[in-house]
Amino acid sequence: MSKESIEAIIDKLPATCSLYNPVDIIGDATSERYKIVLEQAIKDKYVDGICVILTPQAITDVENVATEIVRVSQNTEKPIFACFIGGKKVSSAIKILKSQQIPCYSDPSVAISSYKKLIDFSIIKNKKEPEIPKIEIPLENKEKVRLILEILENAGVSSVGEENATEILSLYGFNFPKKALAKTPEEAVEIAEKIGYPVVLKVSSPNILHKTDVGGVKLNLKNAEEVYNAFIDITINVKRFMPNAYIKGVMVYEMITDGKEVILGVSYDATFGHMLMFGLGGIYVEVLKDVSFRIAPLTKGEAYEMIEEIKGAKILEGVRGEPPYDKENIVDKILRLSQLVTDFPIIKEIDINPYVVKHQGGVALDARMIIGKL
Amino acid sequence: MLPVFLVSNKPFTGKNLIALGLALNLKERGYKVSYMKLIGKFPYRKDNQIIDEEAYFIHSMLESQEPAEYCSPFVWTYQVQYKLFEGEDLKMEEKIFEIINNQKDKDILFIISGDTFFEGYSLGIDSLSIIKKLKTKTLVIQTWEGETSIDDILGIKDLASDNFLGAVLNKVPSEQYFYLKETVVPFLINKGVKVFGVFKKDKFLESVTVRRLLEIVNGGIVCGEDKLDEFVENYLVGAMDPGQALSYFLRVHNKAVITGVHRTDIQILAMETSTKCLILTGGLHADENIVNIAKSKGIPIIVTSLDTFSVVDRIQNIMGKAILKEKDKALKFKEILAKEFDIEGFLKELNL
Repeated sequence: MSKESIEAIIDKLPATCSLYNPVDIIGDATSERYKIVLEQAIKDKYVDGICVILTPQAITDVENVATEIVRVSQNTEKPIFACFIGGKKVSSAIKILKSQQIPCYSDPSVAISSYKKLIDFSIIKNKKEPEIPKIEIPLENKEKVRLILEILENAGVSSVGEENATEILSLYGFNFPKKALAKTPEEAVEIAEKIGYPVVLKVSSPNILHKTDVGGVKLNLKNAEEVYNAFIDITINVKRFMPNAYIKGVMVYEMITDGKEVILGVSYDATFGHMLMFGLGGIYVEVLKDVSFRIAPLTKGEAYEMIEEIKGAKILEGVRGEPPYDKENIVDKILRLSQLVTDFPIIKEIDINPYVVKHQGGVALDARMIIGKL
Repeated sequence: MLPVFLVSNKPFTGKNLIALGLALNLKERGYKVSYMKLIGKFPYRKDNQIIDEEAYFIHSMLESQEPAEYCSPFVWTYQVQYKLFEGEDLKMEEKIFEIINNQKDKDILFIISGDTFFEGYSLGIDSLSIIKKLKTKTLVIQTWEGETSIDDILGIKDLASDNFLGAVLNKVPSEQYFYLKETVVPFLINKGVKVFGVFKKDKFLESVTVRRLLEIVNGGIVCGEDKLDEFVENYLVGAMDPGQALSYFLRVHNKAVITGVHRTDIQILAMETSTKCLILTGGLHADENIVNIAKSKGIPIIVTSLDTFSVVDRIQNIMGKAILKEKDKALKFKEILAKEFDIEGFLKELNL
């Protein structure tokens, strides 16, 4: 209570009372003392709400106290609630309070936590509706995505392979490494020379989802000989492990050498709808389950929160003297994913793993998608 | 030099194992033998050459001095496929004739056909073309899968006519062994088919090594690295209640037990029975106590990120269909063949 309030009531109360929060009008208080304090409290601009705690003694006129609370509450907008502890002795008083919609509790901690919820609620209620940023995607790109999805849907495809997923995400502003399909080892070398070393070779086959599992991936190839041999090794490995898989050829990719691996994704929840997911890549997501989620569509602020929220967030700020990684780029990509699933709700899941964020910009290395009706 | 052609109309009938068993026995008797697999399907890179892995194993077992490509002139790879469909002439016939001509000093050359009579037709090396062009003595290797199994034998007998040598019945379920000996073989002999041997289905010969399982599930090995060459004859999935698991595990020997990485109860029970390895699915972190028990019992633990179903699916595809690449199996079969195969009759038919 304010100094003015204390001065106004100090003489009306016994010297043993405490007038600082919480106000203690001591055990022998009658309804008169409650009235003095309550009337002053509702006038005090520093008091936002009042919780009246009462444990009856022989002389306490509990019904009168309850009536006093009801009367005062009718003269103010401030929330007033009570906590009457005393079983049968206070039951009639509680009836009076409840009949006038004054909340009454039997445990002060429950009373106070309820009050906290009331405060939280008012904060949320008064929060301004955040603005969902509109990501500008050229109309022709949207149309292309619509066509791709339509073809996939008509073909009854639910698990969208890397090729189509990459195309859709590229149309929504994602960067992927330079790549081209080689049919022969000679072609692979030719492409690698064009792209520039080092390169990565991956088998291209719609039947093989986990390419590393069948020896279908070779990394960090630094010259023509390595590329030539890798092509032969990959095709041999796939033939050994999955003899019936259809091999389109071997894809030659530019090798991304620096940056941090993160995961960007979308999943679909029956209650919340599309949820965006972000986490650090590799062991962080598998072992530590260090990921964050938000419901789509989301605001720029929420996208930032997703990055800051994970335990490993500091890694992106750059450790041991390295410059920070481009968080702005991650935010942009999260918002683009949010826009994509908002535009095309048929996309149920997206998994961009890994997305390599650099000190400036970023590149997606692998992407998968699942589509299906809501 | 006499080429002997081992043919079948199904994959995994045991052509290579029988050829190797025969070759080893004949070699012991002083014959100069050689081996060639017409169509390789397990590409293996050896000194910048792509050859068939199984053919190369047999080549090594026979201690052949000839170039490795003699045992495996052709392997299906992506590159070969590409060249074939681009219209390139792979000149397979010439290559095979050349290899045969270069081995004139041998007494017998065992040639292994493709998986079916027509396999290799596009390359001119299918069974019927080879019989016609090379006039090879033809031996049918047939697995016993019921009464219709005799049809392939009688069919090829007619097609090979004068070049037909006889048949071998392989992978016969033990309960049908005497039925075959007493009823089917006399029937075939009556039809003019010499039956040189009847071989029972053998769990050991159909087994795979722990190393092969590790490879096929793309797993990691947690302990028991020195036991990778042990043979696994059966596999079981540990998905049941621990109360029932023990009696289930006790019934099956020399097995691999496939179970979730978190099913430590099942893992402990499995290790109390005849288990050759544990394959833990759905994670890469085996429980420390389990690893300690496995170490003390000498049981290898394989961990894989695959789910149990995928692991079972992959193992199912290789059990009994494994290619031959283990010395123990080759030597065991050499002994079996010496007992069960009419080598004298075979040599007599070949005038050797």
